[in-house]
Amino acid sequence: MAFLPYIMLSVIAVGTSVIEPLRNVLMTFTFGFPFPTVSTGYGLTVPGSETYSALRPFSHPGAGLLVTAFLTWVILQSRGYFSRWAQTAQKPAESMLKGLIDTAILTSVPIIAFLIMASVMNHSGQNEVLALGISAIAPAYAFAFLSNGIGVVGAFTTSSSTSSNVLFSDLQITIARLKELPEATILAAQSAGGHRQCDCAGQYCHGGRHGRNQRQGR
Amino acid sequence: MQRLFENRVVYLSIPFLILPISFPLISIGATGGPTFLWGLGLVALFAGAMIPPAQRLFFLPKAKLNNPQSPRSQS
Repeated sequence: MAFLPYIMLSVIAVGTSVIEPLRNVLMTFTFGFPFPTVSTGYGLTVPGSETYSALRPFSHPGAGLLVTAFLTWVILQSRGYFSRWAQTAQKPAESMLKGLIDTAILTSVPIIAFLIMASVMNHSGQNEVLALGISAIAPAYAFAFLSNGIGVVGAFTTSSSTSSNVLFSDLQITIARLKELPEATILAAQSAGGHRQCDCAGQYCHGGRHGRNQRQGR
Repeated sequence: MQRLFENRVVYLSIPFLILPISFPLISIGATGGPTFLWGLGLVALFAGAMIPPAQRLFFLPKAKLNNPQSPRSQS
């Protein structure tokens, strides 16, 4: 029974990506908000979009995780696993909804905040302005060396190498294109810098400070 | 206000709710909807972004101030 969520998640993930008719149905619904064209004082124009960064909620990997979590909860609840576990652990059974709110809010707010910051930086042209500025003063090989440092700075400020990649990947790609450097290598350097910073700080790279706090019960 | 900012889940619930609604408000206000929604979204975005650092600056629990290494009393 302990393997049930993993089996279910594997079946859902494989099924929704391999069964073509099902995949097509799930991909039909897209969702996104319109945003207007943005022009910066430097003359950069970011074109508007009818559905900015359109999301396909039913074919998104998160949908599979949500369905798996819900089905697992229904099955375990119907079989009385939670009440039996409370008896075994000699603790009162905690409400699943309260536990969900307590853990989800603490970890979601920083993630929502840096995703918004990354979107604002991208759509307002800040990434391009930064990229043009860096490419104007840094020789190609100096930037190739320093791209690692951008990953370090990103991981230091966000406490997570994944967050660092979300924030600075667009910037790194733009500079790599301007300098005619291999994008994959520059992104690898960015990612390696983020991981190195997390390792040096003794943090868990993928969960960052928030994941560590959760594990320590803070 | 002080008690509100001492409970981490409670004060983080505010940005948790207002940050996700700020972008739809800005989108609607900036693309043909009522113009005031644009400003409302911007206020929601700014308020949501400022609440966590404001809590750290102005409402940090005294136990944490006296001993920065100690775990939070309310978390």
